[in-house]
This record gives sequence, C-alpha cells and structure tokens, in this order.
Amino acid sequence: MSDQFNGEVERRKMSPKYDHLKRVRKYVTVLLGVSLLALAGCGSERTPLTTLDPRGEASQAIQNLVVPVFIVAGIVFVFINVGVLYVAVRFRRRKGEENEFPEQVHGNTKLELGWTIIPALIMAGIAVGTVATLVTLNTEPDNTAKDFEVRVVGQQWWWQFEYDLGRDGTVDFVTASEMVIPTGVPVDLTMTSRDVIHSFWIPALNGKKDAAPGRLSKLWMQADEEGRFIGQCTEFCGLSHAYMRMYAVAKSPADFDKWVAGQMTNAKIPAAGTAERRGLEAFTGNCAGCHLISGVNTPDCTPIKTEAEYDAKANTCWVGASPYTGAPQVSGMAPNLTHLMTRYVFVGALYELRNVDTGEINVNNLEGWIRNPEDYKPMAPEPTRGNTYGRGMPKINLTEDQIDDLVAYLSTLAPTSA
Amino acid sequence: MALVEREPLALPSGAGTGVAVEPLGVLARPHTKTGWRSWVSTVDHKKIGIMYGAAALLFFLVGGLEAMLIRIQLAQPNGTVLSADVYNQVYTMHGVTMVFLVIMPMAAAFANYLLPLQIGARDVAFPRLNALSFWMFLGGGLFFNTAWFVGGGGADCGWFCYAPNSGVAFSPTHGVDFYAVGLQIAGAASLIGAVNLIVTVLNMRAPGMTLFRMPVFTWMQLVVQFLLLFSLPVITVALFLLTFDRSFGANFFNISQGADPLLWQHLFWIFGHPEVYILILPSFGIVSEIIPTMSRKPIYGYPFMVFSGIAIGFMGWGVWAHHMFASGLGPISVAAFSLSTMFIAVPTGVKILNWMATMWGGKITFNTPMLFSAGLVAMFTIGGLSGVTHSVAPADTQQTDTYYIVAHFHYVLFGGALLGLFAGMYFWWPKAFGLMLNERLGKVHFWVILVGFNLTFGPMHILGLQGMSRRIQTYQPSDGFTFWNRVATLGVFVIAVAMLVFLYNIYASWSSWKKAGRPNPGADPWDARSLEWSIPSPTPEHNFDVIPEVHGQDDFWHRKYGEDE
Repeated sequence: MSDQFNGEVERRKMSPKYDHLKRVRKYVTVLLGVSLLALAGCGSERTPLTTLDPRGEASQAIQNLVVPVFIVAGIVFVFINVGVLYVAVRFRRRKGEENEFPEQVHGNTKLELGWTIIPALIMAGIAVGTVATLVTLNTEPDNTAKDFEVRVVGQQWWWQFEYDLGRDGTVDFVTASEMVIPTGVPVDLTMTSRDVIHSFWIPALNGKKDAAPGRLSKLWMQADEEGRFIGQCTEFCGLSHAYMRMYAVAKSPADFDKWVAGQMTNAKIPAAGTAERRGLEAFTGNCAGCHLISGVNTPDCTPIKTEAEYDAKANTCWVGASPYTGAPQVSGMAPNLTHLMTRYVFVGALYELRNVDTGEINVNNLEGWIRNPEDYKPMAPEPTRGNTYGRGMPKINLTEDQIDDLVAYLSTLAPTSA
Repeated sequence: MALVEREPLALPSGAGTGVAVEPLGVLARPHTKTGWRSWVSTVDHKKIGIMYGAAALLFFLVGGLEAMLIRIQLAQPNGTVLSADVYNQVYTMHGVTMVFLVIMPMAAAFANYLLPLQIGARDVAFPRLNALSFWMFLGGGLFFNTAWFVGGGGADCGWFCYAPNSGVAFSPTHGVDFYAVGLQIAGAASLIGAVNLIVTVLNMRAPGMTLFRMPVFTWMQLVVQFLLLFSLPVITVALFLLTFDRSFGANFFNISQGADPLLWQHLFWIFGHPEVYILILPSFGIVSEIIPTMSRKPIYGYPFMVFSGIAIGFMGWGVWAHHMFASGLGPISVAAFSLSTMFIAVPTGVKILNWMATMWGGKITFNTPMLFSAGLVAMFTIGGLSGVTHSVAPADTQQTDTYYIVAHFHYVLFGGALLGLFAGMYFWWPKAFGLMLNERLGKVHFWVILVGFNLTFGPMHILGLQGMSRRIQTYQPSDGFTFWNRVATLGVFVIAVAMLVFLYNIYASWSSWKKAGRPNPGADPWDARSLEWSIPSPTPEHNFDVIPEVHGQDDFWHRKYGEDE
C-alpha cells in the first residue's frame, strides 16, 4: 500500500501541471527583493523613544543587564537555528535511501540530563544578575540633595505632575505634559491615576510603571544630562492611548530652582479693557469649570465674579457645567494652565505649543485646539452610558473673537521672570 | 454516562457499523450517514473534530482579515484607514478570535480526532457531551462576533480587557458585554471538552496501552486538558464578575467603591498564563509525532518529553504575574515571578533539544509536515528566547507593552502553535479525508508563510526596542517607526498569499483526487508509528474493527518492523 502510494506522489511530481509554479516563485522572489531594497531607502530614522540609549542611572542599570542577556540569547539562537539547518542537511534522506533505517536510538539519559542542567545553570546566572538589578532599581535613592517628590497622575489622555516640595504631603504646584526635573539627582515619582490604568514610561530614563487608580506605585529616575526625553503611555487606556505622551525635561539644578520659583507664583491678571482681560473673562466663563489657573480659580469652589477679586489675586474657583448635560464639573479635572507658556507641548504632549528653539507660540495649534478639539485627538467628550461627563475636551463653540482673546490671554501665562 | 451503545465487533475493515443492534439507554446514537444531517446530529468524535477544524479555519479567515486591517492602518504614521475607536475594536477582536476561536478549537480538532484513535478507543467517553462542547464553542464564537452587528461594535478593551477600562463608563458600547458572555459560553464548552477527554484517556485506553506507552501527542493533550480544567474556572469567575459589573451595577471592579484594580489582572493571568501552554502544548505534541515518523527513529528521550510537558503544566501555574511586572507588585513578588519564569524555559529547552536529537542520525524525509515541524523548532526557539529576555524583570519594564512582546508572542503562537497545527493538518489529512494534500503546493505554502511570518513579526522586535508601544492606533512620523512598520505590513500580505495557497491546495488536491478516481492513500502513507495509522483511511466510523492489544511504545511501528535490537 505504502509503495503504491509513493508511486502516486512521484507521478504527481512529474506532472507538468505545477511547472508554472516555478515561474511564479521566481517572480515572487524578485518582487520581494525589489520591495525590500525600496523600503531600505527610508531606513535609518531617528527613534527618540528607543529603549537602547539610556540617559540616566536607572535605565543604564537595565541596559547593563539587558546586553549580556541578549548576547546569551543570541548565542543560543544561532546554536539552535544553525543546528536545525545542519541536522536537516546532514540527515536528510537521499535518493536511494528510501528503504534504509537509521539506528533506532531511544535516548541517552546522561546527555538529556546534561541539556536539562546546563540551561538551568545559564538561567541561574541570569537570575543572579536580575535580582541584583532589581535591588538597585528598588532601593530608595538618597535624595536629600533635592528634597521633593513628584506625584504623577494619569488621566484619559494626558499626564499631570504634582510637585511636593519638602515632601510634606501638600501639593505646591501642578503642571501637565512636561515633567521638569533637575539633572544629576534621583527624583522620586509616585504614580496613580484618576480613571483607568495608565503606564508611565520615559524609556531613556527608566522602565515603565503602571499608574493605577486607587493605588500608589513608586519609581525613580535620574537624568545625567540636560535634555527633553519623550515618553508614551504604555498601558492601553482607551480611545486616545496612542496620543497620550509626555516629556521629562531635565534642567541644570540652577535652572530647575529658577523654574520652581516661577511655578510657585500666581498667574498675572491682565489689566481691565485689554484683549487679554477679555480672554480671562472667556476663560472663567467657559474653561474654568475644568481647568485651573492659580490666582484665578481653585478646586474648592468659591465662585468669584468681581474685578476686585481678580485684582486681589484671590484664590477662588469657578463652577462649570458640562456643555452637554449641564451637570456641574469640578475644576482641576483638566490640565492646570498656570504658566502654560513655560511648556513647549500640549494636547497629550503631542502638539507643539511653543517652538523648542525659539520659544515662539504656535498660535495655529492653540486656536485650532480651542476651536475643534476632536481634530487633534480622538476623544469622547459626550456623556455616554455610565458616564455623565464624557472624557476629553469638549467643543466649546466660542466665537472667533473669543478665541482670539483667549489665545491672547493664554499667551501671557508665564511667570514674570521667564 | 449511562448511554452505552453496543457496537458490533469484527466488521470487515472500512465498513460502517450501521445501527447499533440494540441500543441501550434512552437515546439512540444518531445514525444518519450522509448529508448535512449527519454533521449536525453527529456524536462521532471524528466528525466533531473535523467540524472544530473547519470552524477554526473560518474564524482564522476572520481574525486574519482583522490582522490585515491592523497592518494596513499601521503602514504609515498618522494612519487614517481606521479610526481610533474602530482600531481598538479590530485589534481586540483579532486577539480574542485568534486565541479562543482559532488556536484553541484547532487544537481541540486534533484532540477530538486523534486521542481516541491513539489510545485504541472507539470514541470519547461522552460522545453527546462532545457534540455539546462543539456546538457551544461555535455558538459562543458566533455570538462574540455578532457584536460587530448588534453590539454597537466589537469589544474595544484588548484581549486582556483590563479593569477598570472594561467598565461601562469607559467602554459604553455592548462590545465588552459580548466579549464577557461569548467567552463564557466558549469557556464552558472547553471545560466540558476537557473533562470528556481526561476521562477518555484515563479510562478508555486499549489493553496494554499503559500511560507510558501513550504517544507524546496524547500526553501533551492530556496535560492541556488538565490545564483547561483548572484554569477555566478562574476566567469563568472573572467574566461573571465583569458581566455583573457591566449589566447589573455590581462594583467588583469599581475603584471608587474600593475595588483593587489588580484583581482582574490576577484573575485573568492565573487563567491566562496556563492558557499560553494550552495553546502551545498541542503543537508540541503534533511535532513530537511527525519528527520521529519522518526521521524514521523513535522520539528521543520519551520520558524526558513526557515529564517536561508535565513540568511545564505544573510550572505554568507559578508564573502568571510576569505579565504584571510593571504594575507595581513590589520587588519581592517581581523577583519570585521573574525566577519562576526563567526556569520554565528549562523544560521547554529540553523539548527543543530532544527534537533535534530525534532528527540527529535519522533519515529525514522533508515533506510538508516535516518542513512545518522543523519550522516550529526554529521559530519557536526565537519566541522562547525573547520570552527569556522578558523574564528578566528589569528588562521587561522596558520591553513589556511594546512591539517587542507582540513579536515574542507571535513567534510563540504563530511560529510555534500555528506552524505545528499546519504540520498536523498536512500529516493527518489523509487519515481524516482519505486524500493527500498536494506536496508541492504544501511546500510553497510552507516557504511563503515562513518568509511572510518573519517579515511581519521579525521587524516587531526592532520596533519594540525602538520604543513603539503596542495597542496604539497610530504613531508619529518623528518616531522613526515607519520603515519597519512598512516591512511588517508587506509581510502580512505575504502571509495572506500563503494562506490562499493553502486554501487552493485543499481545493486542488480534492479536485485532482476526484478526477483520478479517488485513489486511497492507504492506511499508513507516512510509514508512521501510532495506532491511528493501523486502520484504514479515512477512519471508519467505529475506528477499530478489533480493539488492538498494545505491547509497547510505538506498537504499530514494531508490528511492521519488529523490535529494535
């Protein structure tokens, strides 16, 4: 039966019916080669999120562990794959061997124990390095030089950074999208979230850590040099997950201190009768329900309405309402805009707010975002099943004049010294 | 089950049994032999196995189309082919479909068809439950997919569907409801199937078929059924909690009511990690049959192969939190799960080396099943090694949730599980259908899929290390991800071509077989080793005319060639 069947296979192999396949195979190969070459032309791009270019203590510790592990894995990879090819070539059945039988080997306990124990030993070696690195990464760094910590709060779909100077448990100032840190010292971060689970990841400075609601998780990072290090939320968090980015901005300790001093001040209240003042009115009338600006409103909701109160720089709040349902919303659930113009990016750190080199404000982006936020990133601001407020920035329907005034006002948001 | 049927024994080979002479019990065994009724009413493990396979292939086309949509969207930065909302649904449905509706049922197809044959039984222990399993699985799978049409869109929470993002407030359409209920139904189907197959293997082995004479495939499937038996109840509970939260206002995952956001993660991964071995072990079993057959040598180190499978089955329970290294578990837990994950690589490595040792010194026939098997050994190794780099927890905090892990699990599930399942299809096709698949088209299928697979998933290692997050609907031109994404998208079309070759092969082999007057490939076309090859192809309905008596491992081989000296 078996021989008869083999004959059948041979007969089918001879049939010219499949000859055209050879030609097809040739075309496919050529096509593949050409497309690969074409694609190679646009290779060699810069990859700012790369995990293999550490710029800080923590990420360097990871790198020092990863490289030898990759080398070991590479050796095993070559050994097995070359081995499979070698075995396939050397022990393939050749013509005329159809009825030959190889030696019927059932196993060799010593050999098999060997290739059980040797991988176990390699793993044990990797395990030692792993545990040592884990200890390094989880040891609370000596942080007395800069006595502050940053609470990192994830929210659909942006990051908030609350600075606690003196580590006394009170938030001294709040910023968004850009986390400014001093170089040369480890910075303690505490991660949490207001809604779903996010993950905070600045690849150049450390691995990622989840920011989960109802939990606090710790991470530290230290930048060895000044620079802007890009990050990305890496836990799937819904619609705009891809657009949830952030920067760690490392400044020299002196610049950092200057930045902190600026952030601690209240926003300026523009003089009455100016476009900027009308912009502030537009802000309190339309934005202050969610956004905070210190010196203009606070989260504890004592509404202000009079000029005198602005001029007295009273810390007050504005009760806003959802443009869709009218339900009251709490100030502070959207990015804090105090000293907005000390940042360079906004809208999930994805869009340019100011040019990094010249500091020039990108008015187009700012106006466009206010005019129609959903052009900039996917969001769900309308209330849905189980959600009264919606998620993300709603379309406010301001007039073009109001938008101009608002942009004029927002452009003033920087501390006097800066 | 009390419904025992009396089968007439010792019929001429190939003849059907006809109606049982005097059926005992209440219900008669359905006895339609032809037409669609014979499939709908069947309780025959072979027909059910074939239906599992057909359904899995159907869902494979659905999941494959979803994969192509993903790749088309990611072929350029700021892609606009899919909106963020639709993209999230498509990648979720792709993952769930491939895991629960393709690989699991395809493995179930082989288990159903082959376990009774390999142990010398006439059917599974509970044939009607077996049919129930299949129809429930199909119902669950179809139900899950109807979310596209009636649920306001597919589930959009990822296959892992982390709380609280899976809550109504964050996923207001009914996609997640369909996910929870659909998987619940498919899960119950698997649970029933697991009990059925465990009882079958433990109680229905032919005389002399001791546990340590069973083929490695049977062993691996037995381990898988135990993994299913113990892991499915966990996901069942989790899915019930999710359903209650979403549909009845319960607060199991409501953080503002004091829920722990990690509860779902623990439940999901206590199921989810054994699930990984549920997906891969059947393919390990398949190649453990094919490599010895095509090398004309017994499997090297049978006890090591069996015990490493059992070891993976046990150790698979102690590694789940390696999916949660970034979740803030604390250093002690992270270290413990990191080490346990490293050491589960050891029994897996043993298998790879034993397959190579089986090939060593053999006379290897490189036909299609063997090519796919060797492909598994080579490709799974890559997935295994990237798995080891993931087990190094500090490294994992850089790699997890990037395309590096997407590459890792596709090398395991595509390069491992799927290549093995294709190997099995080519290998057992003559046994199931009485015709051979065309060898030349099979080889084209293999080489094209090997190229396409590596072109698609190889670059994802690089993308991940370059920092591309997974589950993102698009990326920026300034990220530098464009080039390798284009390569990956090119690769998915090559895979699609390979799959068209496979489908064409099924059609072409069938039509040329029909034209040639339906030549029978014979009982044993591969000169194979286990009991299913001792009976005619396609397998007669009653399997064995005479229940065989088994005297050792590879009994059928030794019946043909005598004992080794």
